[in-house]
Amino acid sequence: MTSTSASTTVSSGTRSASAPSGIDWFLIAAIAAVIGACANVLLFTPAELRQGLAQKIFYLHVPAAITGLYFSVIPMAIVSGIYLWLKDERLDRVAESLAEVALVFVAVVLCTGPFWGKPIWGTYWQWEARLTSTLFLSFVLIGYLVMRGAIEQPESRARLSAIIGIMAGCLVPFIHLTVYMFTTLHPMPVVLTPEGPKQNLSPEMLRSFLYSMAAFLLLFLAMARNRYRWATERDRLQALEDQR
Amino acid sequence: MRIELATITDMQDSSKAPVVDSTSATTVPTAEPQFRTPQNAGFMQAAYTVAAVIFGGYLLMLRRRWTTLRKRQHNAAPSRR
Repeated sequence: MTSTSASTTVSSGTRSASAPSGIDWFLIAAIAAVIGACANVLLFTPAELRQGLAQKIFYLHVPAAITGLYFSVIPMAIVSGIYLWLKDERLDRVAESLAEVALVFVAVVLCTGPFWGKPIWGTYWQWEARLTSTLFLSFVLIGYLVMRGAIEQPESRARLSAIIGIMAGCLVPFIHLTVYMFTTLHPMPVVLTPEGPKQNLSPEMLRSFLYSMAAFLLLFLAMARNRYRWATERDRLQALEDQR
Repeated sequence: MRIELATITDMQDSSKAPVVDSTSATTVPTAEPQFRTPQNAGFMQAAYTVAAVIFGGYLLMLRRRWTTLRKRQHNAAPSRR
């Protein structure tokens, strides 16, 4: 579908009844799930023997990292690639939504990591490969979103965004491999290992981790869905205003 | 040494982890959690607070965008008829 025909599709659907209702129950359920997961971690999950309570940041930092990198940035890159092929503006909106939500999750990763690093490593930040490359990814995502706001022509904006989206996606495997490729302070993967997380976590910790992971994944899906619906409504309204 | 902890990938449940009794040379379960580092509760609280602020801030931003969009749709609606 060309972008012209796609914009016609958007502008033809002018029924305000098709607009989503004010309350997003899926988002509310996701927020409740995350609050429940955090309460479970803080109140019922045992503390780690050597790291103490600081290790409980693990249940926040790691699910946010896995969701932000593997469930947001990689799908954004894939969707961006498909956009370059199909030129469907719905794909551009999906990529835009995923990029913004990915930035939120990456920001959580970057902001919670130092609070774990300080008591365990003795420093909030170290310019080593894993941390620096993740920071660089956040800059790419910020650049992606800033660039989208700066270009008015929809087709150019979508095409350039798709290219940057693919570049951001290429960073993720590199970020994953940094701990193998370089000598880093950041520990080796605990969860995403060939042996699986069972090897490194006690059953209680694994249960709490899986609950947190599911809750964060739900929050990500709810946020991305809400953001996509907003973008669809925005484009529909824009198309209407342009027609006048 | 703090840096050596960074290489630890296996996380041990403090309520279950056994300790070696040096007098009898036998392994016994711990009665109380024994942390090598301090409790670190402040760092944990700070991390969870920062995450709540980031997620909450973004959700508020989304809500504000919807409100603005609704106003624009409302303003555009009468002129359509």
